[in-house]
Amino acid sequence: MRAIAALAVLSVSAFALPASGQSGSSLGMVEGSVCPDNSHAIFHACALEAARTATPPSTPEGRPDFSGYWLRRAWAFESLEAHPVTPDDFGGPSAVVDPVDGLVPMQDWAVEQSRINAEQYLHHNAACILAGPAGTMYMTSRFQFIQDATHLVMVGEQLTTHPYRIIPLDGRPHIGDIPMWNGDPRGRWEGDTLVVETRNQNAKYMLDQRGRFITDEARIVERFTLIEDDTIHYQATFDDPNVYTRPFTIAFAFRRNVPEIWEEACFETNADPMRLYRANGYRVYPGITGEQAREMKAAWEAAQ
Amino acid sequence: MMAGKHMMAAMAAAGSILYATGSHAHHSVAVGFDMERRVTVTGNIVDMEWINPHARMFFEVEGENGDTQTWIISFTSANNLFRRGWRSTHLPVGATITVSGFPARDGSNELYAGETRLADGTILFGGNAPGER
Repeated sequence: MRAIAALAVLSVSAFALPASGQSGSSLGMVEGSVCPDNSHAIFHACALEAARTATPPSTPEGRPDFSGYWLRRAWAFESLEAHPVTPDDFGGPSAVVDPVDGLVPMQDWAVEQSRINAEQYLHHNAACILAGPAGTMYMTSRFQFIQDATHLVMVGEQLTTHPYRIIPLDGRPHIGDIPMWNGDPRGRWEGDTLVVETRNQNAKYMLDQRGRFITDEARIVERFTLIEDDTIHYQATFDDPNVYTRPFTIAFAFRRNVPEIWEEACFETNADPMRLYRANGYRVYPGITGEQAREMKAAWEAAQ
Repeated sequence: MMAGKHMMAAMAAAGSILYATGSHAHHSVAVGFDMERRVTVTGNIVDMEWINPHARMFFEVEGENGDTQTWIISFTSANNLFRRGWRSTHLPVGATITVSGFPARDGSNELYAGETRLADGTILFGGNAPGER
C-alpha cells in the first residue's frame, strides 16, 4: 500500500545525522603519524622537519617508493584560503603555506575577475572536466600511484572524470606546443623529493570554487616527499605573474594504505544537466590566456 | 537503463537549476538545491540507480489530494554510499522509506538527501560528507 505522503518543510533536519557542510573538517591526526594534518600550515612545518630524518621505503632503483593507494587530506577545492563551514561549504583552513598569512597573493584586477568567474560560470567539475595538475591532486580524494624506474602514474577515482597523470622520470624534454588540461609534466629527483614541473596547460579550469584562476603561461611545480612510510608531504607552487603579485605555495598530506579505488563515471549523472545548461546558454569557465589577462588587467586599471 | 518517464523527470528537475543563484552556490549540488531548507518526504521506492557521482532514486508519494507524485532523490556517489554500508537490499523496489533533504530551488519534486529512514527505523546518511570529496 502506498504510504501517505508526509511532506514538511523544516528549518532543521528531521534526523540527527549531519548534512552536507555541517560537520566541518574531519582532518586530524592519523594514528602513528609524526605530523597531524588538521592544519595545512602546521602539517607543512612539521613535514619539513620530519623530512630531514625520514628514511622512506625504496624502489629497486633506490628511489622513494610512492606506489599504493592514497587519500588526500586537503580542503582546497572550495577555496584555497581559509573558509568557514556553511550549508554549502565543508569549510577548512587555508591551504596556502607561502605566503605565511595564508592568503592568495592576487593582483587587484584578478580579485575582481575571480568574483565575476564565481558568479558567471559553472565550475568545471559540474561538467566532469579535468582540474589541472595541482587541482587534480586536491579535487580528487582517492588515488592509486603506480611507479617504475621511468614513470609515476597517478590514477584518481573521484571527481574530474577519472583523472590520470603520467609523469616521466627519465629526463626527457617537455612535449611543448600542445596545450593540455593537465599539462605536460616532467619529474626529476632532488634527493628524496620528486619534483614535477608542468608546462603547456590550457588553464581552462578554476583553481577553486571562488573563481581563482591561472593563465596558460602559468608554471606549476609540485614536490612529493615521503616524510614517513605512509605519508607524502605534497607542495605545489603556482607562478603566474599575469594574475598574482608573487608565486604562492599550497601544501597538504597524502596518507597511504586506503582501500582500492573504483570506477566513478562522472558523466553518468552530470551529462544530462550539462546538456540543459548549454542549451540555455550556461557556460563552463572558459579560461583565459596570458595575453587576454594582460588586456583585462589594462582595461581594469584604466577604469579605476 | 533509465525508464522514459524517469528520464523526463530528471531532465525537468535539472532544468530548474537554470534559475538558481550562482555566486553563493559553490558546490554543483547547491546550484540546483536550496541548502538552507529541509524537506521530508515519505513514499515508496520505484527505482534506485547506483550511479556516479550522484546516485539517484525514483520515489512515489501520495499527495494531499490523493494524486501520485514522482520524486527524484539524489545522493552522493554510489561509491560513497557503498563504502558507508549502503546495499541494494536496503532499498528494494516498493519499500516505504522517509527521506529528508534539500529541496530543488524551483519547487519541483526533487531532493538532495540527507538522511534516509528505512521501514525498520534504520537511518542511512546519503549526503556529501567531509573527507569523501
